[in-house]
Amino acid sequence: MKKNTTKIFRIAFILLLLFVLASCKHESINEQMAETPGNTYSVAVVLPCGGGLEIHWRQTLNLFTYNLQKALSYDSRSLNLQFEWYDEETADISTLAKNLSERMDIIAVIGGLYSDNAAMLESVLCRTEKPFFTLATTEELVRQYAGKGNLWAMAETDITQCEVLLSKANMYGAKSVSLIAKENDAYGKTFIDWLPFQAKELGLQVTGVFTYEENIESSVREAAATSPDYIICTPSHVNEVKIILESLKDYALEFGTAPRAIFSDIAYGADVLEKLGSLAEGIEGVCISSDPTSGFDVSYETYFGEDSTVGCAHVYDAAMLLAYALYYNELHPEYSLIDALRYIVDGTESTTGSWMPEDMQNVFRMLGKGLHPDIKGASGELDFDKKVYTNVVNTVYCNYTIYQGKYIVLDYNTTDGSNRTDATLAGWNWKAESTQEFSDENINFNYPQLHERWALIVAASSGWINYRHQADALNMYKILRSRGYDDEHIILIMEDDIAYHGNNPNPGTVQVITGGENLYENVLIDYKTSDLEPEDLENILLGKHSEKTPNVISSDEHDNVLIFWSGHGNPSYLQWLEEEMFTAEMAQRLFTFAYNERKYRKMLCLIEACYSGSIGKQCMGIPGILCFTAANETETSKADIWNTDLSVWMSNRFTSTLHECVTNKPNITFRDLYYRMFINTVGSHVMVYNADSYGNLYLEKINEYF
Amino acid sequence: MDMITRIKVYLFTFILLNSIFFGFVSCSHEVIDEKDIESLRGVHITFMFPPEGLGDEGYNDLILIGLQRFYMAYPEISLSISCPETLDEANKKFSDWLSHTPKEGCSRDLFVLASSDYEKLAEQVKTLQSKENIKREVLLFESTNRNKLPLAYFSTTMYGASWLSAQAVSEVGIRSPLIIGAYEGEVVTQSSIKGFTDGFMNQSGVTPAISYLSQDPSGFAMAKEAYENMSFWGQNYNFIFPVAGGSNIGIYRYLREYPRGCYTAGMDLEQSGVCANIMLSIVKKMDLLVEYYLTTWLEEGGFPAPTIYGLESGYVDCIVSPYFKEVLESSIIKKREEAIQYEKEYNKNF
Repeated sequence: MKKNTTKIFRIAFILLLLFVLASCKHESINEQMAETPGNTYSVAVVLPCGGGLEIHWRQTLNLFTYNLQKALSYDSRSLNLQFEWYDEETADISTLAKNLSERMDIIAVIGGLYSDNAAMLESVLCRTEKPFFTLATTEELVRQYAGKGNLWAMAETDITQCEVLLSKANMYGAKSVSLIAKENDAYGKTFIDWLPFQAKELGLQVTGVFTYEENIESSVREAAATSPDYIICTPSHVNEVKIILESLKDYALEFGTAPRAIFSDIAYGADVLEKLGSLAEGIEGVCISSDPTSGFDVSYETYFGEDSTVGCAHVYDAAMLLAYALYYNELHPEYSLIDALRYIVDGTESTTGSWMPEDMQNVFRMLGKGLHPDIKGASGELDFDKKVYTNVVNTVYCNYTIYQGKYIVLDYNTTDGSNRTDATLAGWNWKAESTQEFSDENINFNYPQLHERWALIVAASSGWINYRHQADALNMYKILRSRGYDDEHIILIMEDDIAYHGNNPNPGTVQVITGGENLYENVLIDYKTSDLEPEDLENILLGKHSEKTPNVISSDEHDNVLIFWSGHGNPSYLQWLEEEMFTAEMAQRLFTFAYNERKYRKMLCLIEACYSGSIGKQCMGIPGILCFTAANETETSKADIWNTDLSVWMSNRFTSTLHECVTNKPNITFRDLYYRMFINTVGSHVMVYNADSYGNLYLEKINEYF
Repeated sequence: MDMITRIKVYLFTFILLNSIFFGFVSCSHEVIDEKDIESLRGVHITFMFPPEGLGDEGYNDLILIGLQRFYMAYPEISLSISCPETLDEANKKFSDWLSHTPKEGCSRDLFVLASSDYEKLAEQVKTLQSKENIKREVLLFESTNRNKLPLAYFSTTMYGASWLSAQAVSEVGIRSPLIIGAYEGEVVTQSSIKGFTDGFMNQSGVTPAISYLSQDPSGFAMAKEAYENMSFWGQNYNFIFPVAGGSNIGIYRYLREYPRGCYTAGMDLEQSGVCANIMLSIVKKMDLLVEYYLTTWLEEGGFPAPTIYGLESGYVDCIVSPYFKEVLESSIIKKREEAIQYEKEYNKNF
């Protein structure tokens, strides 16, 4: 009896502690923190507090604080995070952002569940060195601020969420979908931009994209009237979820039936249950989630007697990453906090567990010993893209439904389909493979057997200042040689004026990364750029020998041809050295002739230049040609890797990412290649042209060329 | 109540009132005896889930719930939870534990092998070296310890609950059931398979068909294959009794999408919310069992005697889904005692 009583007291005490920590004003927490020895760091938390959400954020971070103190109890070094709370829904975000950015005592900000608020916060915080951990992951936010260094998006972009939504519809046997999204809204924009493209890739017909600013009901009715199998609903606020549901209900009453709806993550949360009540029953959708194998959600429910809400695991992980980085920073004060964070997420030495006190203790111990642990969290592997360190590489999404007033997880998805999750496209792949034998559409893509592979590499600029174009061309040459191409099958055109340029401190050396391989060794250059005119490319590509073009691509309909072009571009033409132009018309003519003369089985064009979309789109409608461009028709592309010693850019972002993918993931599909390049090519939109006339990008792989 | 307990009650009440009225509570654990805390700090538990077990929304997640409740009750202990990706990784972790020197201050060092998958791996326990003043122990789940290893163990049986479920569904017109197992020869689910088979035979005279997803433990994580196979199974059988662990979700998903003509059962926990075609669930209250085992070990200094927990223990049960209560509940109540007797007979073989 005594033991049982003691046990009950202990449980009650812990629950009480967590409850009070969760509910008390932050001044009380401050007092507690002040009593704990060690450095205390202030972190602003900007999250919506209405609709029952506040208690979840507080519980989550109090759990973290409790675990952190437990994890560091063995350590002579101690640190505390002191959280300052702001309600995202009621605060003046613009003023708050300015205030937080100016306050020296605030070392980081966690929050921004809503995309517009996150964008506003980041627009100010990006001018500081303060890490901003956000849950909002719109395409625009990531694109605009990925290069700034302070943005840490705790989930993949909503492009992936859009894909998961469509995968669900596909798994449920849908043939057609429509989209309802808010217009002129950062959150809605990602879905509006991406759903039609992704749906097409998944073999789904899009019956319409219906946007609203005010009149949601009419958009819902219009969407339902197109009779899609599913309506993908991506409202920007929980109040809009309610209107969509009511409108669908009304439509069903009037017409006897309504399409099924699948909601995005906005429809997941304690606020949805509170605000919608019984209307929420049966809602189905997808949402970022904790990693089921971390046990976070199960534990949360055990501790607090209720389910966690959207983003709890990610908020916990943000605080945990920050704690690790601060700890590391105390050991290595020569690093900035952002550098420390980058170090933390780059660890490779194996650890066990993820977010619990003993797991955190192991990480602290390893850091203390100078080891470099691989960090896992409640939301899964905390690996960030190594180029800009902005997005988590893999995010777990759950497929949820509301049953008897409670969220039930039906299954989980990630982009890689690891640990208890399905790959987002697993269902689609299965279906695609099944339908391939019967689909008439695929007859068009009945390519003959592959015989040989050819490549045309063009560095279209000259001079030391354009170092990167020739360096990238040489790197491509090296990669192709390493993948079995011989010199006869590679036509390399470059001015060859940088290896022994007067500015080159290491004559005879060309590199794409500082300290990297010398790409100039054992290279056979076919033509100097200045020895050719753009028109000569026609002879070279179509295999027409001439005095001026002795080395040509002698391909036929059984051969794959790869074209890589690096240089400058302008709207409607690519620059050939300083004066000449390879125009959109010339590109169109070249592609057409190559097709008519059966000069390729498949052709892949990779164009790194400003406004390269204007050239890439010239292949549209021509069978078997796929074109990747670094930028669309109206924008510039960006250089990458500045070398202070050489005073040049060594590579371009599009090309350096391409090289990374080709080198590290030789079996990557074009879709995944596109996704990686899209995410990593900051400052321009990587574009793909002519997928319809090429094949299925989810199945076609780059290993046919590399 | 003795004096110490009274003091604790007063202290607790005082803190509670303080918290309510002033919104503040001290973080120090002054309600707990310092001596107790010190002795609890010397308790180390390493808890190893089966490979990729966590996140199954069933058996293993229930175990985690029980474990976390225990940890909340005794937060001073050192608890390390791991969920390896492979048996090799598990093997290494256990070997390391067997050979390592416990941390300074450790007085009791327990390793929990929370799966029958670890039966073979557990044989290494023979090499366990006792350390001076440190009690080192191993607890193995779902084992009958045929090799008489020096470790604590227990097992659960779903024979009775499965027998009961088969009787009930047979009574309401299920004529062609199919059992889906992970792989042939798998030990833990054998009691479920046998129970359901015997129960259905006993009631209808028909032997249920059985199909396995794999030849090895990967059959527990083949949801996609289960989903794809359901297009055939769903047309040829009108009840699926799924005992394939994580693969079961593929079956439930299919029946959510194509709900006509085929029913099924939930496993490990009450799953009526997952799929409307779940008529009943065979539940294992692993959370309660784990909490009971660890608390007994901590408080009493040792584990309960080896036991097979079944329908009679209350840790295993057959729960009817809300929508099917009217047609199944009376049968479940009526046949319960009979099921317990059959289970006892079955257990005699172990």
